[in-house]
Amino acid sequence: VYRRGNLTAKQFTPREDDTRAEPGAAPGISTDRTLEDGVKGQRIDLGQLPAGFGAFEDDPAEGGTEGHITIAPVDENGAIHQQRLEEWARSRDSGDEHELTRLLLEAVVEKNVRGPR
Amino acid sequence: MSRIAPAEGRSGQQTDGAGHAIQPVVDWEIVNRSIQVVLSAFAADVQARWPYIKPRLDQTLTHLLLFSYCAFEVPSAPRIDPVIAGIDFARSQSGRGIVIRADLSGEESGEVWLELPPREVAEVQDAICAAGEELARQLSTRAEEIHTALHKQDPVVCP
Repeated sequence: VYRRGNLTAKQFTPREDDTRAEPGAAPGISTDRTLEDGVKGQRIDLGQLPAGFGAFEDDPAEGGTEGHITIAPVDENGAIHQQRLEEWARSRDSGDEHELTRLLLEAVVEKNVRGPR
Repeated sequence: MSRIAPAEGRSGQQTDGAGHAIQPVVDWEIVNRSIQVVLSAFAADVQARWPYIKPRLDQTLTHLLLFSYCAFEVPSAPRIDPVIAGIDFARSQSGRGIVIRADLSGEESGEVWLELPPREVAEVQDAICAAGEELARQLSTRAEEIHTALHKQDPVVCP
């Protein structure tokens, strides 16, 4: 999947808005199966996500977006760890890089790729 | 799921047959500092011309090597996508050199506002620093593009 935008700590840390689930979509960091034409993004191999993260695909039938996948911290049962997600989001403007940000940056397997023109 | 090993922050770090560390070929912290000197001057220039644009100098160092950058953002309008002036270092496809790319692009949108021709150099500290600094200097002449990218998003907040 692709995280749109640049390989910066801020872009790999959720916003407060990202901690709330939308219809058909789980909360977390947004990624997509494809990149739009000419757009820059960072490729993440979901099979190589670090332990403690989970990936959740939208359900279009419930109002989600086709091909949209969110990445979020999970508990030992694989459910989204809401408290950890909120703690992570609060770090976004703190200037300190959260450990989940560091782990997700390291999960990028191809950087600065461009969507096909 | 498998966990990815954390970055060493250096490349070419190996041990000899006796397990002694061999001197790394490239110290990416030094490369980053050399780039940040150029980007700092660029940031000062942009801020002098448009005081509402704030620079955020930083780096991302992972197993994919260094991305050294300055984000230009408008704190009074956090919904405006910051423009990243970035210098990226990656291994060449042959694995024997370093490819250096420079562009101006949206931090969140990924929209590319300006892209310079990439450079490829040998994996030698001085050559990497020199090529990276040169690309950073070329980016530093494009302050107008930074302003234009922000102005297009909100002409009122970014006149």
